[in-house]
Amino acid sequence: MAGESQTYEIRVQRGGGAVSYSVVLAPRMTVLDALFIVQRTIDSTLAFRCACRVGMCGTCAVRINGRPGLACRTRPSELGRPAMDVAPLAHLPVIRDLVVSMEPFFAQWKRARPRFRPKQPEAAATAAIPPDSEFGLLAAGKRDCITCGVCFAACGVRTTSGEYLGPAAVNRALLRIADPRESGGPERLAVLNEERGGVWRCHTTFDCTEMCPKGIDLTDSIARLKRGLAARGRL
Amino acid sequence: MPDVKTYSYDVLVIGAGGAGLRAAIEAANSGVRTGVICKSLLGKAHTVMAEGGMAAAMANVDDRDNWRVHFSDTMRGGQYLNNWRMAELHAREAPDRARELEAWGALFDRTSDGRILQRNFGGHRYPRLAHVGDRTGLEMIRTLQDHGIHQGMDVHMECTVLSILMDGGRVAGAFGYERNNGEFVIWKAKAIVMATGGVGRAFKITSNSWEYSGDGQSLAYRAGADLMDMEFVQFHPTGMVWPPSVRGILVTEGVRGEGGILKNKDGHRFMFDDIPDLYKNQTSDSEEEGWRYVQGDKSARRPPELLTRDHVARCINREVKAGRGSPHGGVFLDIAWIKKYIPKAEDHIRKKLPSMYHQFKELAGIDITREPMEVGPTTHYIMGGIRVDGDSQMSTVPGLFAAGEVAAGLHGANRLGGNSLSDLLVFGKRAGEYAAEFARKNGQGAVDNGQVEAERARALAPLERGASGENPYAIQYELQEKMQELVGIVRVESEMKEAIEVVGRLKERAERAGVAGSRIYNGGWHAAMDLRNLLTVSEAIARCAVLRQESRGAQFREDFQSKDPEWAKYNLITRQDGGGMTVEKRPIPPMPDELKQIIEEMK
Repeated sequence: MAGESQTYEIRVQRGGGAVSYSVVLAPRMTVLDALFIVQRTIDSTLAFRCACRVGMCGTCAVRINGRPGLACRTRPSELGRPAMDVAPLAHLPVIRDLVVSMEPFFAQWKRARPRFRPKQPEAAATAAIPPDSEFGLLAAGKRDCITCGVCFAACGVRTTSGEYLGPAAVNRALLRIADPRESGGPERLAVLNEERGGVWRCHTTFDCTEMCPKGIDLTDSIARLKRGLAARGRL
Repeated sequence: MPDVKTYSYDVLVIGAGGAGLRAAIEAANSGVRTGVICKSLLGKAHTVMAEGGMAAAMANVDDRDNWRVHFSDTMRGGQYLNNWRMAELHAREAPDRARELEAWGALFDRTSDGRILQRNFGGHRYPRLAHVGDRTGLEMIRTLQDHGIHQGMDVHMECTVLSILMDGGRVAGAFGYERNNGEFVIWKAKAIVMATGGVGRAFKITSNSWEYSGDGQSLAYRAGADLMDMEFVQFHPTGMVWPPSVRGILVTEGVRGEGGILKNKDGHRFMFDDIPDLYKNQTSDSEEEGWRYVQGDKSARRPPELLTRDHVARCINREVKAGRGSPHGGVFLDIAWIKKYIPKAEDHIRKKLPSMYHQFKELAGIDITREPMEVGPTTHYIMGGIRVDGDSQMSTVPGLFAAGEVAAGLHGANRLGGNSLSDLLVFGKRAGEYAAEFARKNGQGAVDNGQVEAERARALAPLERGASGENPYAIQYELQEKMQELVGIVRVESEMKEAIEVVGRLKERAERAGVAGSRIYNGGWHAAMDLRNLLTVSEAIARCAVLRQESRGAQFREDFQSKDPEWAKYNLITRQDGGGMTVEKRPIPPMPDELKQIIEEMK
């Protein structure tokens, strides 16, 4: 049980400005622990979200020292200095303090037509998809998305374009299109192929891949769709 | 009514985990207007944390499996207090629900010939759990969410429901507020499906999502519904205890199975100190023999760490209560010590326990190949809940249905792993179907403005008191401490009676709760509103646990350590009577001969 408690300065973006709090954190405490300490002992009105606490639900995403990430998975002791800036995710309207509206994120998710359209509903459960098949491998690496919105906030394109689907929605669409049980659907491809809102807006800067808390190679997902669409002559 | 928004539905589903989403899909599919309310954002429900899988007797891996075996396994696990009709329907229908999920886009792990793979799990006679690695719940939620989004159901995210609105004896809707802006809302409905999950937040240490505050059980109870078997709360002997945000997260028994030992703060391996007579000749009496056992030596006896779950938890409790615990109120679970016997122990541990290695590395910053873990008993699941009809899932209140963890019956006195995810789908579907039918046959009940006005005033009171009122978090913490200490894994009458008194005092303090700030996304206000629910379920758990003077399934009584055949005949029913809570025995309805025969055959 090595290590001692340390005092940290946590500067939280609240409304127009940053409010600074001093909290004592024991070793291995997380940014989420720090926010709870502020809320429970200093200012009960501090607003932030959290549900599962273990990186499975994707509710507690915030910006920590400028980088989007999950509060429950980030430890202040690993940030390199005894002060941290915590702000709401970028590219989403702020409701209060660290709580943002996820509406734009979910609207894009929905636009990507995430609903499965099977070729034969009865046969889906018996379709042979060996784990080492092309789709088996693809799904294993890409289906852990927890819809936390970190990629959406990390994406440089979203800074300039409100129409862009964003990495998570594109990744979901890829999982559908690549699924051998799926009947496909021209509407989904048309959305992905849109000039302003589709995959072509991605500048391949890898920010989403770098920040994804589940380690999904989102840039690869987008690139695969670009290649697929290009092969079809952009529909 | 001024400043109150109104929506109108045929079926209103409260809760958007596996059961709620499945119910909503069923209702919407049948053509009735369906609304879903959830406390968190859509897709973030506790279901996403489920790892093991979904039990369904598809017989893909072992062709001897069928619904009869699954039925009898479930009844045995539940110590025969189960609602046998639910256990039957669950076993019969789970395979269809699993296959249907695939038709909606889920992809379970596969056998080599491409069928849905099934794995072994405690209490299930044959490999039965369909799974998606160790993230089955996440795949289930995402599948239901993506399937449901396009079905025309309205989703009201981040809303707190304060009360079920009643028209005489039947439901007329729900009243609550939107967290984002604090606006009050009336959701009119002809039928309501309660699917709000469990009660973990009533305890200090829990594996549950922090939204699990007993809302559905409490809302139904206040609407006049019967609760059943609330004493049966499933604890797991080893949960993480540090850091605070991850306190309670499960640490698999596999760690002890691979040779992990339990030690107190003095480094003493205390499990050797108390080996029950019944198990003496099956339990090793030396470190060396225990190690041989976990290495697969069939002539060796098992180490004391692998004694029954209840016994292990009791021993941990005793060390902590005697002041010999770890710094954060648990004990030490050490797997790193095996380097004494294995040259490349670090690689071995990482290979045998990959998910635990990552869990501690990422969530606690602990390298379990080098340092001991801190663990303690954690609250995992409640078998009890709203009493429902086995076929329709309707509660004792007309128009009020319940499915999933919030409902009682399927699991009896203890739940088998894997039977929870299947429960959500089987009974979520049934609840949605019967709620829609009820809505088609019955008109909209009248909303009682007096009830709305009273609830509204009640909700606003803590904001009006402001920061000078009682701090809701302080009340919540005290409740969690006391429930953990007094109504936890080891129970005794005197302590539980003390807990009931504590709950009484906390109820009075909760009536004086005050919070600073506005109605816009105010966590303190949400906490104040949750208190009534947490206190209600806590009282029900304690009162039922006192009354059941035996140890059965998940309940262990220090003062009544054995099973009493007389108690096998009853469920315990909790209901609101006047202002107070009453608990009474209710004889279990006789089981049809056909089902009795199945149980006999499988013995």
